[in-house]
Amino acid sequence: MAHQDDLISALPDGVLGHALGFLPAEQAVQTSCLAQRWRYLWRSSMRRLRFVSEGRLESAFDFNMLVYRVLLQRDPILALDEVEFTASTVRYWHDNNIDLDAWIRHVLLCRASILRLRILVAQRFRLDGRTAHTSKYLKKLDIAYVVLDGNTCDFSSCPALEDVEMAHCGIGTNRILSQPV
Amino acid sequence: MAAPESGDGNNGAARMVTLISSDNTRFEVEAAAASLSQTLQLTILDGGGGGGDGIPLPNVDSATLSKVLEYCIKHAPAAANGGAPNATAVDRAELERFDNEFVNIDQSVLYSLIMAAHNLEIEGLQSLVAKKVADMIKGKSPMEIRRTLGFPDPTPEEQAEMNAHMLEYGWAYE
Repeated sequence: MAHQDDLISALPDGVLGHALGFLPAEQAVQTSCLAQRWRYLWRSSMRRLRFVSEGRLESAFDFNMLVYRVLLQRDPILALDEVEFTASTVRYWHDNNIDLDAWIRHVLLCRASILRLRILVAQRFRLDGRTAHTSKYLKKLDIAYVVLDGNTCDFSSCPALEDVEMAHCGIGTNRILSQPV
Repeated sequence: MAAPESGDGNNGAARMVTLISSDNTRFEVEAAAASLSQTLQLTILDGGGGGGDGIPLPNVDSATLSKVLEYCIKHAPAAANGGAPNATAVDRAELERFDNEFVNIDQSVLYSLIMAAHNLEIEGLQSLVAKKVADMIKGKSPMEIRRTLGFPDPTPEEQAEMNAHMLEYGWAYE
């Protein structure tokens, strides 16, 4: 039996999940060992995911593993609200590419409405989907420091998309598609 | 739109509504401030809360409600500007200073505030208090988090279970 003397554990799941969403994803996962009450909170109540590599995760491999573990272990029925991928470490990314395109497809399937990409990696990063990203739910796209490459960066099949911000992006693609914003 | 505090020659004072806490204290507040609550907004739009009536809030005590209204009054002008796209950097810095100071409170007060923000659906306040909880957790080990959040010391059984979970989620601690 878990103790219930602490005040915070009396808060509803949704409220605690909201708070966890402001933590980097791996720290939200760590809270699962706090007590029985917290075991599945991050999986079942967290609608905002922040994947942030700020010097701690130094290889693309580690970053990939973190994202896959979190995405595969959370409850896919729970709609996502906001997802952020921030990778600001420049060293040690030569061993692998990060699989951003696959993640974007997955989080859009999970109905994410806000997507933020901050990829401050000097090289070997590409947003190079060959086919369109499709979502009824995506409302906001906030991209910085990403090389848009490949045939197409196509968000034209996202009819709810109403807010697109781009900064410091290298554009190697010949087409960036969205519906008129 | 900034409404005058009281009708001093201008064409009328801002509309006021009355909110009644669970312990029967009446709070008179500008409708614009109370409308930051999604829960109250429709009632107020329908003309409720005016005159001698008042809107009863059986889930919110007076100490918490007064704190909630302090937030709403401070944030109402910016919210009226549609998220204040034309707010000056000074205004934004002032709101940020206010917010930081506002959540510098005892945990028991914080949790009452969290429940009130949740029940009244005040989006900005919900995020502010959720971020505060996240800040209390951020960068700490599980035992430090337990102490910070006022968990009782784990029983040997719980300690063993914690250790097992830390092993299972070893990847999150790398």
